[in-house]
Amino acid sequence: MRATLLAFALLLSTAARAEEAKPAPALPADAESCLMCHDKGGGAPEVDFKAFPGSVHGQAEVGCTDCHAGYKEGPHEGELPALSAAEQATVARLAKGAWGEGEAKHGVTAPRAYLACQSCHTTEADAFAKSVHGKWLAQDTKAPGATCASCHGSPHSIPAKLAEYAPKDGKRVPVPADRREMTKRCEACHGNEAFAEAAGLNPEAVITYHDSIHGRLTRVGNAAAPTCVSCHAAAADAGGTHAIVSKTDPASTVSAANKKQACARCHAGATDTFAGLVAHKPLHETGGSVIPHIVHVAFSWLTTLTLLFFAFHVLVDFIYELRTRLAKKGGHGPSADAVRSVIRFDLHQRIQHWFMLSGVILLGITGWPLRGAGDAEAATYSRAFMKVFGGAEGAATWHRVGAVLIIISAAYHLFYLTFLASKKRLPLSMLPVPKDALDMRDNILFMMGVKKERPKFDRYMYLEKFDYWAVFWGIVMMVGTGFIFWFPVWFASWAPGWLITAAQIIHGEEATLAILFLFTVHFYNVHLKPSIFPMNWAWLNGRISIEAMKHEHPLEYDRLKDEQNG
Amino acid sequence: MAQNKLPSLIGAGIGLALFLAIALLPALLYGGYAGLLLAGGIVGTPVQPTLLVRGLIVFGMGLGVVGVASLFAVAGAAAGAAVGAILTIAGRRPVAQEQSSR
Repeated sequence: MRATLLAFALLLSTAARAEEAKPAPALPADAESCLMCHDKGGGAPEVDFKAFPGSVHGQAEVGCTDCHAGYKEGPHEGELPALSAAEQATVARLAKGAWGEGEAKHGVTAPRAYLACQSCHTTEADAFAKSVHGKWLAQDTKAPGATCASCHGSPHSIPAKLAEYAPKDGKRVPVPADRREMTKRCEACHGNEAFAEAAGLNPEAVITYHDSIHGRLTRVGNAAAPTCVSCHAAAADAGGTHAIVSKTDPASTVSAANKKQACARCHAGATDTFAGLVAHKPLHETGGSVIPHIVHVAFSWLTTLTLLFFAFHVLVDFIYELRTRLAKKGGHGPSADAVRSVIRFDLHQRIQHWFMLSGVILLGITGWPLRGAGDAEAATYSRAFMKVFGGAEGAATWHRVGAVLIIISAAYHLFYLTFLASKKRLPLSMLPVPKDALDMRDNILFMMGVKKERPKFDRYMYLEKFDYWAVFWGIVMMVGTGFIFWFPVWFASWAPGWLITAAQIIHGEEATLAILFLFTVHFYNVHLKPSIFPMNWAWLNGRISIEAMKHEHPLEYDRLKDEQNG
Repeated sequence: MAQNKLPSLIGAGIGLALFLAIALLPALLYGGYAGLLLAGGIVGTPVQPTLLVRGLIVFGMGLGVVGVASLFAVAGAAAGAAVGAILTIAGRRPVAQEQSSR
């Protein structure tokens, strides 16, 4: 016991000595007198002296009075050197400025110190003075604009020089993490509705960015997904991020004439149509036509009504199944008809279904996390889930693999049908007929207990026909629109903008419909229905029991029996 | 034709337990967001918190939970069926070997 205590004591004393041995972060030589008033509890505006030595300015041994020029023992009124008229005007404007750090908002407490930035950062300060962010320092504007601290944070704690980031034409250059982090500072002003309105900015710029494909890709961790500076910063040799100008300025990277070049930084060959697709507007308002809006409304109704109807169908069916199960008396074990079976789906059909199901599930689990990333909280889960596929870029590759799988399934099915037609064996049992509508009505009424008899179904009942034709519709919609995203620049080189916007809307809406329908309605009907659970084995072995056929497809059973009897 | 349901049932149970452990919250979020997007198309954007909008969001959350839970249950059942089939085949081999050695 004593040995253990001794060991602990030695360990702790060593750690303490190691702590003592670390050199204390050095403050500037002239800081001691400043500390007396500006440290915590000193009475004067507080300065974070702990962060300063580790900051880029602390590392460069910038002293307090290098920026706070002329400051002596204080109180400072009266001891400061006189400023020129222009400097006085700038300082007066700076004094009205503010900057944000997370939720906290800080007023500019030492406006004169900002005059010193240009002493060392002359190029940046010159570019900033001409930029849209610096305009307010030279002329009256609707609201105070940005200061250095608005983007870089407190000059006392700027951590390090930002990583180099210079987008190159046609190459998707990953955006460094510190630049991504900086986006939050853009959002502090551009995402602040009250400030944006006061300053005459688009109050929805941040919301529409996060809703866009760029914003969603950023949220799920795509390293090359563009942030604000990817599009809005001038070329590095023209001032970069410090030289951002208004989009109405012909020199702006996102002016009407230049926007396609900004897009071409990532999308080689981008055209004006392509550039028009990203506009910090809701998706259905881009594309320069009313068609995307009509498509948006129509597909929202289609999706909602379809899901509402089938959710109701599942609910009625589930209650009926439970009632039937409870009313059922103990039987005599499985009958011979439950054991005997016939082939319902041949091997070709099963292979087509396997391709289809693996493709659709892959598409769903790699696509919906991206769509759901429009919601900030859901995006956290999307990002974590996409790591299963190797991150956002990996998930994108797997999404395309899923697309190829369903294309193979569709092509296989069409060849299969053509082959059957050539042999004059094309079955027409899947064609919708008026009886299906009546069957649907009568079946629902039966399950609700209004009708006494269940309608008699043939080889395919209305639900199976809906599943089948919905896949045809879905393949055309999803593959057609998916190809547009796969090769967006090429499509935009000849197709109108509204077509691409409409395709984007359809892809998202149809994904919602398809995934929710398949995972709730289809899975219920073939897997989760109490009488079927855990599954209808036909998707694996292609067989249906005679008992199930008699119960679910009595017309087919009768016909087969008649054929057998000659 | 008669299938041994037990492995599939165990698999479905494990799938559902896994769903409750890791996917319930995201399913609620994704479903609610889907409902919000649908509401945006039906009542127009920006959406206001009306009864219809709230109803659509709750409907979306319900479908999200049922849909993702179904996926976990079905994947679990399929995995269970596969394990069951492998165990059945593995169980048969020694019998066949035994018979051939006689």
